[in-house]
Amino acid sequence: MSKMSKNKLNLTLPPGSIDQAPAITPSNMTPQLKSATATERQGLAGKSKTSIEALTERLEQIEMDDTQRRRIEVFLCQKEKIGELSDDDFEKLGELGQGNGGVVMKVRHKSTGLIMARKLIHLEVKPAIKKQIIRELKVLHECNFAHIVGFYGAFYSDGEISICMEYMDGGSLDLILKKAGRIPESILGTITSAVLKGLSYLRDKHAIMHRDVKPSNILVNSNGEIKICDFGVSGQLIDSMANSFVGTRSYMSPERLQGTHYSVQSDIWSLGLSLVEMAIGMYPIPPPDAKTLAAIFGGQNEDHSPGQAPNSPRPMAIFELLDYIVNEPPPKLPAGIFSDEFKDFVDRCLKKNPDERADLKTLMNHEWIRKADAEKVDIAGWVCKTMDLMPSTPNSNVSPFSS
Amino acid sequence: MDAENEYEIKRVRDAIQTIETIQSMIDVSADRLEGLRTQCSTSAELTQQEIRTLEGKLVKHFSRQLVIKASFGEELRRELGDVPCLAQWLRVVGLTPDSIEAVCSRVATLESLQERSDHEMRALLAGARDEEVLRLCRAMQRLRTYIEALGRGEAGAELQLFWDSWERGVRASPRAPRARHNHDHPHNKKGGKSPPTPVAKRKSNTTLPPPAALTKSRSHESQLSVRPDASDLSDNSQSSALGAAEAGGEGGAGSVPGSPRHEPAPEPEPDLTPQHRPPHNYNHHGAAAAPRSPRTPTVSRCMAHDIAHRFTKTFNMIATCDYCDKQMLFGSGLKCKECKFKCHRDCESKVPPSCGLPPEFVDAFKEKFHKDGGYYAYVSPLPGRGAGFLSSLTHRRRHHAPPAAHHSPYLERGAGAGGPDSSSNTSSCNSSTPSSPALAPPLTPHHHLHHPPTTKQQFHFPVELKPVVSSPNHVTIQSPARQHDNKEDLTASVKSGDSSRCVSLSGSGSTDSGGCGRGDSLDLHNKHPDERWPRQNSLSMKEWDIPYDELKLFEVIGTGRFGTVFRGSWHGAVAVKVLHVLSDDCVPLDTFKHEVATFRKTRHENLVLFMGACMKPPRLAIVTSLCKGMTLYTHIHLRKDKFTANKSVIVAQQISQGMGYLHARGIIHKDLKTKNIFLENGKVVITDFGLFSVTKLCFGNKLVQSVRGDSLGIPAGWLCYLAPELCRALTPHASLHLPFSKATDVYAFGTVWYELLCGEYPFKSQPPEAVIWQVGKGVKQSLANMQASRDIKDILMLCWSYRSAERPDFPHLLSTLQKLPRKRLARSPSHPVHLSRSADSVF
Repeated sequence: MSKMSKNKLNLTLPPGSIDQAPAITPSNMTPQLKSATATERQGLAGKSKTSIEALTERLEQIEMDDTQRRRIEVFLCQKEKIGELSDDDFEKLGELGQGNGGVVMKVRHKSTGLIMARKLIHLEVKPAIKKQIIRELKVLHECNFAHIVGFYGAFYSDGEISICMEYMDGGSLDLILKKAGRIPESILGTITSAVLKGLSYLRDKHAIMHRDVKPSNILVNSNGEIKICDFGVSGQLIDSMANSFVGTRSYMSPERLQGTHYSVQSDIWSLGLSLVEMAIGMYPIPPPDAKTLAAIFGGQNEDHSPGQAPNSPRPMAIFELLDYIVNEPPPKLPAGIFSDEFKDFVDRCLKKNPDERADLKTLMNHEWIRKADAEKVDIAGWVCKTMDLMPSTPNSNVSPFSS
Repeated sequence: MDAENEYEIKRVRDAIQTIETIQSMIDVSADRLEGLRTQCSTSAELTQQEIRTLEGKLVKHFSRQLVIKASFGEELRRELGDVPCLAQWLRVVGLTPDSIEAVCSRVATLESLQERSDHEMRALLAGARDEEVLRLCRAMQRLRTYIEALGRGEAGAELQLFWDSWERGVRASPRAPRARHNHDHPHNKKGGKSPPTPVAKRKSNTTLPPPAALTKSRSHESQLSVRPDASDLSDNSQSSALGAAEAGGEGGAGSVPGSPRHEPAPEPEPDLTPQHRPPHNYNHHGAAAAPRSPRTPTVSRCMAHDIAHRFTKTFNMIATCDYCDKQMLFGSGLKCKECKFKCHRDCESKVPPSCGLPPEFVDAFKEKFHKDGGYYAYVSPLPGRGAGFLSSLTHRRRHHAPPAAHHSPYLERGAGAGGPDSSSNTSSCNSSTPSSPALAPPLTPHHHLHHPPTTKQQFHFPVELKPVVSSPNHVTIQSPARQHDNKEDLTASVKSGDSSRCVSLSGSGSTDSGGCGRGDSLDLHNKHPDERWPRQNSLSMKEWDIPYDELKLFEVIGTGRFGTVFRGSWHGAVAVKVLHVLSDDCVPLDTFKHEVATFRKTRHENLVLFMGACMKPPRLAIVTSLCKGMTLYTHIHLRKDKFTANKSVIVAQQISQGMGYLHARGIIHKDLKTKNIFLENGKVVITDFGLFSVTKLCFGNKLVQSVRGDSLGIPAGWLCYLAPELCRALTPHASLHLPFSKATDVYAFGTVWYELLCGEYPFKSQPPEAVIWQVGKGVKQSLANMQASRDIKDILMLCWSYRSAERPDFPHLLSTLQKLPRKRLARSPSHPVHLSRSADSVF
């Protein structure tokens, strides 16, 4: 705790960022052991300056553009004023949704007026476990990246762990999907690029794999930012979760379902499945028949009438669905509607054998991604249009500091 | 003249209308009465009061009809014909269809029946059970009384018009109400016979070896000595089950019927069955005690069973104090040389002189021990027998075919008297109020008729019993078919046994001693009126309904997906599980009640004691005894306590016993998990059985709540207890109808067994989807890293068999667990053993 007071933000140099300039390098593909990272981090933390300048220095070394970098600086400045969080600091503004294992509230931090997303996870655990979870969650303070949702802090109160995060006014992609019906391929390209960068950052800088990639864990805002959240940073938290939810959709890879060894490749399956779902506007298992597809893509234009996701013939039992994932051919994009690159990208993600599946590096260099990066897609405009938002809503990212 | 005629006509019309109105009221009341008698537990006081009220009403209605009818001329009478309806009246009285037919064939109208004397009515009902005769006599008397009252213009007079027409038993053989007998027949009897009774008692006391002498042999012989009785219990249970036909047929000629049954019984009752009819004793003290006194032994304040233990130090490894149920440490305990009763040294002084009594009875004894003797004053002290009798009940399974000589007389009695009597025993408890000041004098002659058979029996007894006492090898049992002992049977046989005892005792009034003893111990078995009620097979939920206001709730001791568990107080410490009810609109209360109804059938050492429930929505709560100790979950997963192989086996055995019992009672736990298993000083207590579906009805539970959108909320540590067939059946929506079965309980037991051995959940740290798929596919947690013997792993693998049919049942598991090679465990032979057997025998 004494260390904490010296380094209130617990900001550290990302391991390896000093010797390697670009964050994502081919040579850096093997995730380091988490424990090793942790020790290294601690050592660095001791030496590191607590100033914004030091941080900025480091940010420059990470592959982000100026805007992204500035936004993170702003975020960190705001965060510095907050300090330790507690239950009394917040004013409830509304419910944002149900995350896995808990509810997410939109709250206002009273003293600073910052809007945050507060995720409450009900836990019945011993104090020691609580402390361990809070400790493990502190890693999130170090996850400062353009495509990772910002983290303000975590605390325990009244049987619940609260995780306070940056509020993303556009919401998650599953909400957007519900509104939009489908998400255009061009938008998906940009989103995918962002997600891949985020996953690479987590893996390379923090040796974390996400474990739960799905549309509801990809958030957007009216600034056009795309960020991932809810990654498995605390193993203890995962183990301690009182309840989990299993639904009609599962993004879990076949190898994980089978209980065999799994790796970051598992996240890639999940990403692929999410992409198919967002592209066709329905969860693709079991695969829609021709008629359903015709119904979806009959118009064949940009006319995605919302809420028109046709329902699959009958609800599958959970086991049936999972068994389909394990034993049936993987889903794919329907022919003739999407670009070949997109189709190929998805197919590479949805290989049932994790060894045949493309890895992060390959995918980031995939033609479809490069195409998407080159093409400037107006995500902000799309988000605002879809979610009926004002182009620049007052939120934490637009603060007096940025002007 | 015309006017007069018109007036007359109007009067007649009015009268007819009135009679019809009354008739419709009669119809309604008669239906209700019928319903109360047949569908409700007539042992419930409320029901009895209801019945009495209705009887009173009906008497008035019928009387009015009769009076109105009587005030008119022949014409109207003819016009009204069958009003009041004789058959209906007889039904209201509580006669069987056969008897009704018999009466109707000989008597045309209620009026003519009204004119018959009791004696004539008895003749009319020749062949019917005694109780029916009695009912009819009394009902007719009430009718006459009220008609007289009407005649005097005292319609509003406070009269007791009921005649307690409920069936005196769960079985088919109702008989004359106990309460009545207690004051009626005693009179009759007493005139001629009462003097011998006390004398005999005293005599038997002196002739028998003094208690001290008995003590020595008690532990073994006493059990054996009474075996014949046990056999006759079984007979009785059977015979009583055979029902009315037998009872009726046997009655034989003229007015004799029924009498052997009903007459001998009442007499001994006061002496013998305090616990069965405690209300009597309590309530009637004033009224009934006096008449009874000649009979009742003067040995006041004496426990029937009064044998001191012979304690020696014990060095048992693991033992639980039979007195306080707490664990005893090495060498800190005492053990009775005779009956193996164990207790702390500190407890010794508090242990009642219960040597030889099975544990259940000791509990009751303990309770009584401190109580003011109350009805014990009546109990005649005949220690050894009592214990033996009870043990013979408990050990029934071991009986062998009895020597025919012993057999037959008992059988005879059992068939003749036991059946009907037994039934009256159970239910008559609450009928104690001195309902009828007017006794049935007509019965007297009848009674006298019956003395001969009784006396004959009396003479038999000493002869029969004595050899038995001395030769432990005389063991009896009637039919092997009857040997499945689950508790119900046990109770049934206790009841009937009780009756048989009564018979023998009536005889024994003078001579027999054995009977008395048996009776006493039986009394202990049934304990206390208040404790008795929850276990009776009454169908009335009222008895289980605990008004929410009566509960005091203290701190929350747990929250489950079904509700919140509070420590509470309701006549002592209890656990109250308040179910989450979000909306009170569509609570399927009936289903809740139905499920709750199954709990009250449970009484086992390894099951939490169900005490009642609050059944007024939205206040739904289940009240059980408070479990001391911690759950296995806490031990294993939170405290990380290591369970040695031996301890694991002991725990697993107890779980198997409890579960075997539940299954034998047809109850599926549905949520067996370490969080629902408490460890109280080494004793396993299983909780929450059968609640899974109950609580799912109560919408507030998280499982249902969590069916939000299209996902199923899965509580931590739930999935790994779900058998493959359950995992495969999980759906985001309809998982409320999972195919739970005994086999799924066994699968869950396997997981508990794994936790005990490994200290963690199977499929630890795997996401729920992965567990669902793997289990659904038949993948089992690998046991490769498990340090355990082949046998132990085999049990696990059997329990986790993919095919439910391949999973063993609990009795099988228990025997497998018992066969596991390990250091022999010192366990008390008393409780678990026989229960396990009973479970065994069921399967």
